[in-house]
Amino acid sequence: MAKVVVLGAGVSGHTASSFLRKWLGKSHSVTVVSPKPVYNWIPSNIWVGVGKISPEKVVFPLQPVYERKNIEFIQARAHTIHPEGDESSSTPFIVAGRTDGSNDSVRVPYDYLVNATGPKLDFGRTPGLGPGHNSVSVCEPGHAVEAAASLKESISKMRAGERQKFVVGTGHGLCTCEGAAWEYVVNLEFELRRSGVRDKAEILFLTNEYEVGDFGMGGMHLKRGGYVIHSKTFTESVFAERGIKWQTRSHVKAVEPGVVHFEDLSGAHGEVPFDFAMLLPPFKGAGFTVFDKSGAEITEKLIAPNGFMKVDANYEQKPFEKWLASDWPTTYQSTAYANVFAAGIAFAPPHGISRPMVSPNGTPIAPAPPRTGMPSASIGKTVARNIVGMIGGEPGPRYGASMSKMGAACVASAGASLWNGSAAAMTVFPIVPDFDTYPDYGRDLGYTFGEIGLSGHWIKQLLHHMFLYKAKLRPGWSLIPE
Amino acid sequence: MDHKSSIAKDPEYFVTKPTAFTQFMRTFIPWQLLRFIVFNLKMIRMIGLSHAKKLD
Repeated sequence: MAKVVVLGAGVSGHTASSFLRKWLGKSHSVTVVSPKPVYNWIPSNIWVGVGKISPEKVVFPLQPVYERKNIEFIQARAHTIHPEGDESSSTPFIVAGRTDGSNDSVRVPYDYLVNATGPKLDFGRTPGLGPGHNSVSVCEPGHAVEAAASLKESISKMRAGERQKFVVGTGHGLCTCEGAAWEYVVNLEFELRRSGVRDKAEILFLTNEYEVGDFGMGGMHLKRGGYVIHSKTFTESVFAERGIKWQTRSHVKAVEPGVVHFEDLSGAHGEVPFDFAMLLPPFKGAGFTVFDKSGAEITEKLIAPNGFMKVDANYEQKPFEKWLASDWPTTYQSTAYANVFAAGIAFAPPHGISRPMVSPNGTPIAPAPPRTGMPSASIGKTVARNIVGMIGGEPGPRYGASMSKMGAACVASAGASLWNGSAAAMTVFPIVPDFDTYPDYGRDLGYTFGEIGLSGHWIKQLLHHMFLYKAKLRPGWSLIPE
Repeated sequence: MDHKSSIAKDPEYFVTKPTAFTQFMRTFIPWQLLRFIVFNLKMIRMIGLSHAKKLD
C-alpha cells in the first residue's frame, strides 16, 4: 500500500489528488493537507472584487467532497519536510500546524509527496501594500469582498459629486498575474459606467510590464486584419477605448494612504495619488524547511531561495539570449528525491519568460512568469499520472507536461453582463516561447489567437460553472478537460 | 498650436481603436453565437495538443 500526500488544494493540488484517487486502487491512500477548508475558483474572484457576485459563488467546502471520494483531508499548513524520515523511522514525513482552531502539529508520513502549495502572497515586500494596509487585493475571496466594499464606497462618493482616482495594477516590480489586474481594471471601468459615475473617475493601470499586454510571458503575437500584431496593440486599444490611462515599467516601492510611490525603469522616482488602489502582491514559495535523517537542515537541496521547489528544470544562471524552451521542467520531479514532486505555482521556474530589466538604480522591473490556471491543472494531472505509474512499478515518470510544449487558454473578463458584457478570449501555444521550433515569434500562430466580444463573456461564464462542477467531483468530472 | 501639442502628449492618440462597426459586432448576438462556437472549437483543438506527452 502506498500513501500519497498532496500539499495544497488549489487548482493544481486538487486536480492531482482527484486524479490520484481516481486512478489508484483502494489499497492506496491519498491525503490532502491544506490550510484552508474551502476550494476557491480564483479566476472568478475578479467578479467578487467588483461586487458582481457573492464570495459564496466562488468557494465550496472541501471536506464533504473528499469524504465522498475517500480522500483524507487534514486542515493544516505544512512547514517542514523530512524526505529521509528521522532517527526513529526512515519513512519520509511532513509536519504541519493545524489551522482548524487547534494549534496542534501533525506528522504526516508519505511514500510520495506532491507540493502544490501555490504562492505565498508577499504583500510585506512592498511597505504599505495590501489588505489591512493601504490598498486592496482580489487574490483571495476575503480580499475581494473588501475590494468590493471599498469600490462601493467610492461609487457612493462619486454619486454625491466627488471625483475619485483609481489605481489598479501590480504592487511590486517582480509581480506576476498582470492578466488578473487587467481583468480587474476593465471590470471596474465597466461597473463604473453601469453605475452612471464613469465621468467622475480617473483610472490608471500601473504595471511592471515593459509594455502592456506582456502578461509575464513576453506577450503574444496574433494574426488580425492581415497583420501579425503584438498583444500590446490589442491591450492598449482596450484601454484607450475605455479611457483607462496606463503606466508601464514601474516598480511600486511603497503605498502610503492615498499615494503610490514608484520607481520606473529609467530610474526616476514618482508618486501617483489615489482614492482606491487594487494592487497585486508579488509571490513567493510556501517556504518549507527541510531536514535530513539526522535532523540537519538541508532546505537548499530541495527549495530555491525564492521559496519554490526545485524540480527537473535547468537552473543554470544565464543571460536572456541563452534562455531555452528546454530549460523548463518536464516531469516536475525533484532531482534530490525521486518521490517528491512540485505542481502548479509551487515549482521553481528556471527563469522568467519576459526579458529581465533592471533600472539604473539596480531595481529589477520585469514580470515573473505566470503558472496559473490551465497549466497548473495540466501539471497536477501529469504528476498524478506519473506517481500512479511509479506505484504500479514504473522506474520513473513516463509523462511530461512542459510549459514549452503545452498551450493555455485564457478568458479575461472585460465586463460581466449576459447581453452587453465582454471578455478577451485568448489561446497561446506554447506558453513558453520556443524559438527553435517557431523562429519568428516563438509560438504557433495557428493556435495563438485572441478576440474580444460578448461570446468571450459567455465562455467565461461557462468555464466558471464547468470548473466548479468539475472541482466538486460531480458525475463525469474527469471528462471535463483541464 | 496648443491643440496640436496636447494631442502629441496624449498616448491614446497613437493607439489602434475599434471602428463603430467592430464595436457593434462585439455584442451582435448572431455573430457572437458563431464566434462562441469557433472559439470553443479552436480551444478544444489547442487542448488536444497540450495533453501530457509520453516521454521517449
